[in-house]
Amino acid sequence: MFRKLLFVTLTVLLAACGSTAEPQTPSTLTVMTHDSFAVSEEVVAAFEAEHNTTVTFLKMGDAGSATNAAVLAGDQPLADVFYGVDNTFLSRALDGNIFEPYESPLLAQIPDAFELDPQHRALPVDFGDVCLNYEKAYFVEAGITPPSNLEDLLKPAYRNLLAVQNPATSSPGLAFLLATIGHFGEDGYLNYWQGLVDNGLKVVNDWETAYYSEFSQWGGSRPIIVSYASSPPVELVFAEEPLSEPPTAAVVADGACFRQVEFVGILRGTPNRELAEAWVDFMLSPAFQEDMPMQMFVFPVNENAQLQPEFVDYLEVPTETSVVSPEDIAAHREEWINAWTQSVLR
Amino acid sequence: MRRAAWLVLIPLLFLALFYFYPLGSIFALSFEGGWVQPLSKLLTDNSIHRVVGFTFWQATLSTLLTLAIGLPAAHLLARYEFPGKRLLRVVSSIPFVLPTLVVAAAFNAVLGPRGWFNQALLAAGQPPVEFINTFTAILIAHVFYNTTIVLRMVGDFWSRLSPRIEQAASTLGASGWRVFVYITLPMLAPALAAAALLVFIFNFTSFGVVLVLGGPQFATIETEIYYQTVALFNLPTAALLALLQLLCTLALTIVYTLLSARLSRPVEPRAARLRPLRTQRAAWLSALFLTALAVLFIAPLSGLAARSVTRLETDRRQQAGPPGFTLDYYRALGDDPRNNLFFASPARAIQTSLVYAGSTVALALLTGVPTSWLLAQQERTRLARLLDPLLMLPLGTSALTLGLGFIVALDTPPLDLRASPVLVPLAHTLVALPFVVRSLVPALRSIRPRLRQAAAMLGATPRQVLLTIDVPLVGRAILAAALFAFAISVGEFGATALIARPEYPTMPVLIYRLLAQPGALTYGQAMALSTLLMLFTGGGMLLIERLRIADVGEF
Amino acid sequence: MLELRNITKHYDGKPVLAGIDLQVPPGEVLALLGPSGSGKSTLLSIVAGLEMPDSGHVLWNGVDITHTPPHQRGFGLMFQDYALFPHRDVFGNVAFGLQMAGQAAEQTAARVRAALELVGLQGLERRDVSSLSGGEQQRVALARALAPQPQLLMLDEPLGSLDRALRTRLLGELAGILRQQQLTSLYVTHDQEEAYAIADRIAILNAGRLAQIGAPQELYRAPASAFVARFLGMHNLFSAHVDGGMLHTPFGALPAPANLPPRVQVLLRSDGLRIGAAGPQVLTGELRGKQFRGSQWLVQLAVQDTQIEIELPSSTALPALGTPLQVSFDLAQAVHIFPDE
Repeated sequence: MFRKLLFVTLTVLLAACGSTAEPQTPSTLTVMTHDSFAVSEEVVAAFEAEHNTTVTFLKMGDAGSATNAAVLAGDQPLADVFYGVDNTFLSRALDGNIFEPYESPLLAQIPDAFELDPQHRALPVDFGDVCLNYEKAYFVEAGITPPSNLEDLLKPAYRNLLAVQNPATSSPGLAFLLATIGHFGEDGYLNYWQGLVDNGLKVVNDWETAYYSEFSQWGGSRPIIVSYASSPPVELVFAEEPLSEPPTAAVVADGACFRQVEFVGILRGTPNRELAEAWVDFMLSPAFQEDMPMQMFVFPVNENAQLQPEFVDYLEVPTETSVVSPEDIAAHREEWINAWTQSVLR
Repeated sequence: MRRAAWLVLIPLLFLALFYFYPLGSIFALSFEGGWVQPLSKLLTDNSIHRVVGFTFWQATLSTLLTLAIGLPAAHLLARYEFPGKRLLRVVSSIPFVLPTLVVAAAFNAVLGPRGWFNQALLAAGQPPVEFINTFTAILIAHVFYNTTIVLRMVGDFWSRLSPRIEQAASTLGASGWRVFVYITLPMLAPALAAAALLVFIFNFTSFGVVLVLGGPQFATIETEIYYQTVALFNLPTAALLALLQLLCTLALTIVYTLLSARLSRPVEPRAARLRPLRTQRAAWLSALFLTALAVLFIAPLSGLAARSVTRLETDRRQQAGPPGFTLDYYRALGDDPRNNLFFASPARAIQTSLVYAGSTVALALLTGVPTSWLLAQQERTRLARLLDPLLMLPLGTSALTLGLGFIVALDTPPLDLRASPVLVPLAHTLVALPFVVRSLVPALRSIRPRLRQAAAMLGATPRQVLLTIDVPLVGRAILAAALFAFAISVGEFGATALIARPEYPTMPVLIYRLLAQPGALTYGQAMALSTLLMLFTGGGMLLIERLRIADVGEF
Repeated sequence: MLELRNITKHYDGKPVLAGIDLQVPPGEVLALLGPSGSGKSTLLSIVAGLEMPDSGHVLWNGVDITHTPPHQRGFGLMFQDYALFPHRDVFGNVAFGLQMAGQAAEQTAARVRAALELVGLQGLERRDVSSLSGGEQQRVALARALAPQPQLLMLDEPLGSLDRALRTRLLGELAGILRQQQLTSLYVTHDQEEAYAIADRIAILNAGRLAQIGAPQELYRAPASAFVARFLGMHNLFSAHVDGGMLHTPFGALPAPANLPPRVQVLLRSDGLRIGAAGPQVLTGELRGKQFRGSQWLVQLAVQDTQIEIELPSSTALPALGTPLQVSFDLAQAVHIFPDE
């Protein structure tokens, strides 16, 4: 009995292994990414039809986990292409030497400011700005002016109004910490945070808790939280009933936001180099770039891509974001987070 | 017995291939640059000391609290008949399979800043209570999650202990509590130790609860591993912490194995006859206790369900939707306005969850039944004795570390499983296996050897003895084991999110996707889907409960 | 024909069986009688194949089956606690052996019906075994053991857990069934009355050795040792010493046969004494107690510095308690002398 069952299991297992172990036929392209990745069906279908191929996606957890997976897979890449490493993790990917350089012709349509890797191993695809969000109605009702920059948050009027994410566990949390570091400098940011603590700062671990438990828009008690510049227009898109304007707004003053840029790269050792190049070109082309905002709430780096009306009307894009280089982030991440933890949480 | 020794190869091979090999690989990689320096850094790091200390402290406290609540409940379930008994069993087992995000949402719906409770307080002019991101939240959530382990492991065992032994003790002049301390407790010891151990390990390795409900003030070894790995990519430190967690688990399980070997004793295969509660006082006390228990379990679950059909009334809301009852969130579940490539309807997610869970049950039983059978034998080989603690190790292993191990180790054909959907049931089986074995071994041991001898005397071959005596008699236990495996698979999120194919999200993965974007509708949908998951698992548990009763009737 | 040759067995270094030789001819009911710990259940387990002897052989019709697994021996065993399968009903229990033998369904049903009829349980096929009374369970266990028509039936204290009245009744029925089926049987018990009632021969075990084997009346008439006598319920056993041709017992001196060792055990059979001074040996004592037993009086008599027990016909007229009484006996018939233990 058990022998028979064992035999069946092993056969099934081996069959399952066998199916993945087969050498990949050239007509399949595997794209590895993080779990926030989303794309319209017809956009991918168009690519598949044009190149007579099938695209398979692999999601490997959040951006950090996916980057780790790509680095650890080393010489046996999990896929042909990896999309989703951002500027906070870029150095880890580049130091791990996971990408093959590829100078896409479409880079010509992308502003140089986004090209953080001069060797073109990682090519920019999209950006999103992490900014303070606030609930408009709260400030109307309370008769207070909404904050217009980071310094405002130290004022007594904004006491006990702010909730942020822990930079150790949350990607927007880290981005906001980087914004303060870029804005106040390595010498000044801790003073600023001390000021926030004194003014009744609340820290939670993740974006979900900040947005859906703490944010007053969502049943919490804090009218100011850290989210994305895209969140207000998205609130409009996913409202229960049609709204005339977003119920929230982002603070986009100079230096108040940190820009996250996401990159795509061809994984070293892919047997499908040609197809991989086609995919990278495709991601940088307007067809894909215009699909991103509604799917992932991030914005095109390609200047020729058009935005949907909701975003054209209501997206506030900071003119000048706070800047910290990927190398600095890699070199100082632990030190900055530890210093922040010491002064804010302890 | 000797001829069956090859059975030991099944679990050993499974563990070697899908546990030790990946784990060894990631450790080897992490310590490539030596381990002495990271170790000395770890040993002198005060914040790490605090993390380790807190991990033990919260796990101990949570376990004691869970036992304090679980034991009386297990007693009532095992010995008495009372209205709502089946409901209690079903409801208490639902949290166990819910992903942390859903549980956090459930507590938020009741005790959050604008939860039902605080709304009621505000309406009564009272200040709201702080619950989310407190130590209390961690403890309560752990109790909420793990009480069912005590109810099932201790309760089932208790119900099969003959009450005559207790009656004998009382005729010999032992008072109620002395009967409990000198008779019942020692007899319960193996089940109690097993349950406490499992609960402790779960609390010890708690990740989501500490992260989401505990908040940034609290860090356990497991969350620290996450931080060191994902945020800092500091693999040596992460590996050392994972190793520490592993060694603690190993030590605990070895102690447990030593204890239980001495303590296991046959119990009646048949449930003892149940009594109604006898005295007025006992009935009142029990009713009070059961009500408190019901509130603990039902309040968050029903709060969540209520939230999924309620449009919140907030004074500043500009949108037109009338506050109050709504089914919009459920209606929206089938919509795919963005035509997302990875969109999955709830029905499809349920289907995916079922396929994974079914495979997990099959794998876990295939590995677990022969393992349990070996472990239940009177004369165990040394190898078989080693197996027991080994099986528990995956529970004490950081899922993140093991996940990375899969990527590093399983990268060469024919074992290139890194991108295969087979990884999901494999990972789930690693977690489910200890439960399967834990529920099967006592049942197998409890079969009086006489019955097997009687069957042999009537001409049954060893194989026939297994099929006609052992299998039917442990049927209930196998059912319970399968249920555990099923439940673990359905609710598992961490590993699934790391390895699942995006076109086939399970229910928890789908819920997570909805929770990860802003918007009133998406949050409502997440609540609706969570409610569906809850109803789905609850329905499954109810079905099993009914099966159980039918089964008992056959005895 | 069952044959045991020099069976030995140790548990934790302690001998449980120390060289048992035994033969059971076809159709015989042999009772294994002994106190608990004498090794009788172990011996049964070895015959059943549930345990292996350390040395020695088990032969069935001349074939060595020492290492044959139990399910291939074709023997039946009725367990002391019945070991009924809790998950099968009465029919399922009784049919089990037939099903294991691969019997056709109709045949199985017929045999189960016959077996249940034999034990008087017809109509209870679908009953849950746990709902049966002790006596009914005992019958189901017997029917289960009988149904596959075993070559050898073993019964391990089958009446042990029943109350006395039920025991007496079932004992009679059991004896009848065993005779009727002409089954070769091994019957383990610690109760000599059960053994007397059911066995063709009785083997008495003492500390892993065969103390005596023979027909019940042989054992009763001529116990081979003080142990056997005591175990068969004979009470008047005394230590005695030989001095000057006389046997000095607590109840008086008797003429000693030749060649006795200096210390011996003396059994005075309680059924070998009569009232009056007519016999060759006369004892005078004081009547201390009397119990009416239907056909007999059981009488306690204080003689010198001890007390002896006497069985007298119930027609005997007894004096009042405390009065002197004379009894007499024949040395050859009423006294057995055993070597000191």
